[in-house]
Amino acid sequence: MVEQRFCKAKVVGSNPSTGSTMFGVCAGYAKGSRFKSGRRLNEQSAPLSRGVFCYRMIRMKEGAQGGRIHPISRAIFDIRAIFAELSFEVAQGPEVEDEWHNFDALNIPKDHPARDMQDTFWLKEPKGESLILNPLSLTGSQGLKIKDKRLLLRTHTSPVQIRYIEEKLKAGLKPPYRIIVPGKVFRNEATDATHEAQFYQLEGLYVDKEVSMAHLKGVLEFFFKRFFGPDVAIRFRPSFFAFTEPSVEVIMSFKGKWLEMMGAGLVHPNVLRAAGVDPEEYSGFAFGGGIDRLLMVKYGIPDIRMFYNGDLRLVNQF
Amino acid sequence: MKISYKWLQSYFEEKLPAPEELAERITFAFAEVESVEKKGEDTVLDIKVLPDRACYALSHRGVAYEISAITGLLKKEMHWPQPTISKVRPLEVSVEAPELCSRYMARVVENVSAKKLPWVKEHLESIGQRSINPVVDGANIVMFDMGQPLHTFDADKVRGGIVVRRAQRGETITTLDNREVALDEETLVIADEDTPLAIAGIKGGKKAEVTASTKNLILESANFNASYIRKTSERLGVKSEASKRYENKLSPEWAAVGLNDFTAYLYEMDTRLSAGDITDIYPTPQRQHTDKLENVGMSVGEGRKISVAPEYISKKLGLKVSGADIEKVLNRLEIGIEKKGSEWTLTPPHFRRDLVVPEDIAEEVGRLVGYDKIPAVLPQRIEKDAVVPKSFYYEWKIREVFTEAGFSEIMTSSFAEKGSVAIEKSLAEDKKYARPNLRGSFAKALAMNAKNTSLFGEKAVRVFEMGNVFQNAGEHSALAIGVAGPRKKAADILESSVATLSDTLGAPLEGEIKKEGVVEFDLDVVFAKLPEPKKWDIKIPPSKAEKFQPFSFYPFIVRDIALFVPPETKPDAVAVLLKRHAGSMVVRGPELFDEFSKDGRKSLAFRFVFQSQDRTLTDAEANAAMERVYAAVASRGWKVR
Repeated sequence: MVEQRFCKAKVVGSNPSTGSTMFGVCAGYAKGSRFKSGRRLNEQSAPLSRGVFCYRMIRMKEGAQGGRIHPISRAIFDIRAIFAELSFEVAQGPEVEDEWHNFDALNIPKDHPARDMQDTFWLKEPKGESLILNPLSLTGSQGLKIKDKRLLLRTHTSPVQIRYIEEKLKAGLKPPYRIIVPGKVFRNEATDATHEAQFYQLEGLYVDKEVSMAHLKGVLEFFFKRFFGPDVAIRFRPSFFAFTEPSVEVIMSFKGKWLEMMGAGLVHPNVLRAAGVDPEEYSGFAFGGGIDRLLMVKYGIPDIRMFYNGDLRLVNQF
Repeated sequence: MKISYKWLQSYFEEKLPAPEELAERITFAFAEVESVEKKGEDTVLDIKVLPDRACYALSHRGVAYEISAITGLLKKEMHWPQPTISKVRPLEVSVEAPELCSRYMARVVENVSAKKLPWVKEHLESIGQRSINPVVDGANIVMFDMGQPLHTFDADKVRGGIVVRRAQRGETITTLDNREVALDEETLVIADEDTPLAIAGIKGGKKAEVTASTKNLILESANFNASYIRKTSERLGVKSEASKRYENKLSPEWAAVGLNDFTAYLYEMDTRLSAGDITDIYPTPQRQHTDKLENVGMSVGEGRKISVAPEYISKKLGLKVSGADIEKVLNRLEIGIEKKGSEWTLTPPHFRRDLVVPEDIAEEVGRLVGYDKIPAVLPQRIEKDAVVPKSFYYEWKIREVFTEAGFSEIMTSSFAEKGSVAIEKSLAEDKKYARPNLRGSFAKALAMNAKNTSLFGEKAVRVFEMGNVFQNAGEHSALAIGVAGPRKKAADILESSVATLSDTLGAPLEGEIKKEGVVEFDLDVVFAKLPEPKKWDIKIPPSKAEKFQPFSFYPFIVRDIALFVPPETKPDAVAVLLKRHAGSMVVRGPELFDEFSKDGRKSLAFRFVFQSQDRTLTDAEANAAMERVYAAVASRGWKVR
């Protein structure tokens, strides 16, 4: 069932015509790149002279299926492509945040209920050396500034708005900024079919000289029609978020129903100010919603917890 | 908040739109209506008042204000007959903690004979409240009508005057619902000269409770620091309709209106009562001393004027709204306008404590003109490729390589039983830490999936996960790869896949294969060595899914069948026949897994997987299905091996 042969060519690919996957793998490789544990390579494939690679072709009838990408990742893949058409870049930030970026900078009052224990995973003071926030993917790599001693698992992707702007301004780059931030967020709440302690959010931010609610509608309509199909429609409904004003709930008609999909609005001047942008000169819109929710609606997935239990019975369907 | 349609109608001469239509208009201009329920002659709307609007809209009058703004219907001003002031017993009131109590009004009312007013019970019940006694009902009616919480003490049970003070350590109070609550210096109480009578703004106490036989009353109408009330009711675990309103920054101006309305109610109940003078301790009236209010912890912008140009509003909305239309909206919202050229100075009514910055005005105009009118406009394109962060790009490169190599991506919990980054209040014992690595729960998921290989039709399970992990040194992105299956094969697949990845990325990967068949890498270390990506060139297999197919969580049963058939027989045709007789519990198969020819005969081997969606399938059931398959095979003259 397993057929092996060896060659020196670099072949990595699949053979759809036979319905089976051919994958070329590097079985023997240059010295120094072995695993630390040093499990010996089997005899046929080693040793080889330095820098020469040998590819062993394994053709597996049974392993005919290609691997699948997690639906959340796939959604992020599609979302990136849709927003790239509108020149939105992907930005990322740390999952451990400080209180300032997660709350203060976003105009969330000191005594806001969201800061309470039941909504936020606060971290105990780390032992030993203090925890440094890592620069996951923001362009600089010298570590992120911690503005506040109290650390938490970020409750939304919105702090990346602040971090991105800070980063750009430090590099001397003024708006326009157009970013999307797909990322994991955490809420300390009881889990059920529609609530999970961890989930993915999609954040969007556009800052420019004159950004209006009409731009917000244009961009979101473009996105939802691409993601769900041309038949969907969106509407705005009044809502409230400390970091946007006006604030709206974005609802979408999908298969005959109106569904809440996202929160959005124009960036509150206090937020721009906190990030170092003059709200007299610039304005912006921001939106945020659950990627899990996008998928649950699109595919009829009944339980959010299915995404995070590592079960291939879900993943293999995508 | 529950709002009675009939109650609401009492605020308008003209007929309101029908409940369903009204609910729709409220939803798109003010706040979501969660339900519209017919209740006898009345209809009850459950309105999810937004947190910023809770300072003025947690009442029928507040909602009527909104409906007037939405529909343009004129809202009536309510005036009820008031008693003339009589001479009553003197009442001493002192506020010792003005930082927590911005206004305290009190009034003695004597010789009250309480009797039930016919309309009261109906009003309360329409919004799901029960009637307690005529006096208490009146306080509640006024609160649900206009938003000001009111409290009443039995004047004959109060010793000496009223003091608004912080409690002393060791003091306790028995609340109206018979709970014994321990108090401390952090807690504000309303007390007489001996002991606390109420937890200020949150809950009344038993000591001076008003009962059916109460004759003489002290009415209280006050205002407390919003943030203090929220924290204290949270801390004490005591919440009430009153605390809910105070914590949302109710206007202290309402206190006077509430007290008058309550007095009018009592007067309607018994016109022979004696109402005394009003005591009003209000050191910094809201509209005059903005700065001082900020000092006592009130929010910025009380009585503030907002400067805004009509053109600015159109720009924010992306919709041309004429000055006249803006003016119409502002008038309906009772926002004062002073025009100086193109700049307007606006004065919001005292109860609109949510209106502070010009953007707030843009929202008012936007929602009332209608967000549906705003066009969808795409921002101008930028002729520049949208870049992605380096780590984002290379994570996708890894997905590309691994899916091609037959690996599937899984995601597991970011929480772990052990680690170094501890969570202050975790959800569960096994979730006390932010995960220090991926392999903990990843290995468990690998093992779980290994049990299901028959469902996937594979011998080996190949999975990977990428995600952030948390250690004392910081947070980093990690990759875990795992293979479960026949031992030697698994190790081979794992090693060779890592080598492929290493080769594709052009960077060495250093990791250690753990005994569970899992290897984990620190991706930050790997990515640091890689160049910035030039362009987005990631390709992934297209999605198969149109719709999610529910899968069963019950155990499955695997059965194989091997048979001899004539050499010319097509395996597909055999499979079709087998399938037809195997019954409805087949979740996978029949799948051909072996085929050879010998002595002019062809041998085929198929595999079935049986599983029920709603119960554990028995061996007997699987056997019965196979018996039917055997019978079908026999009827064709084929032979089971």
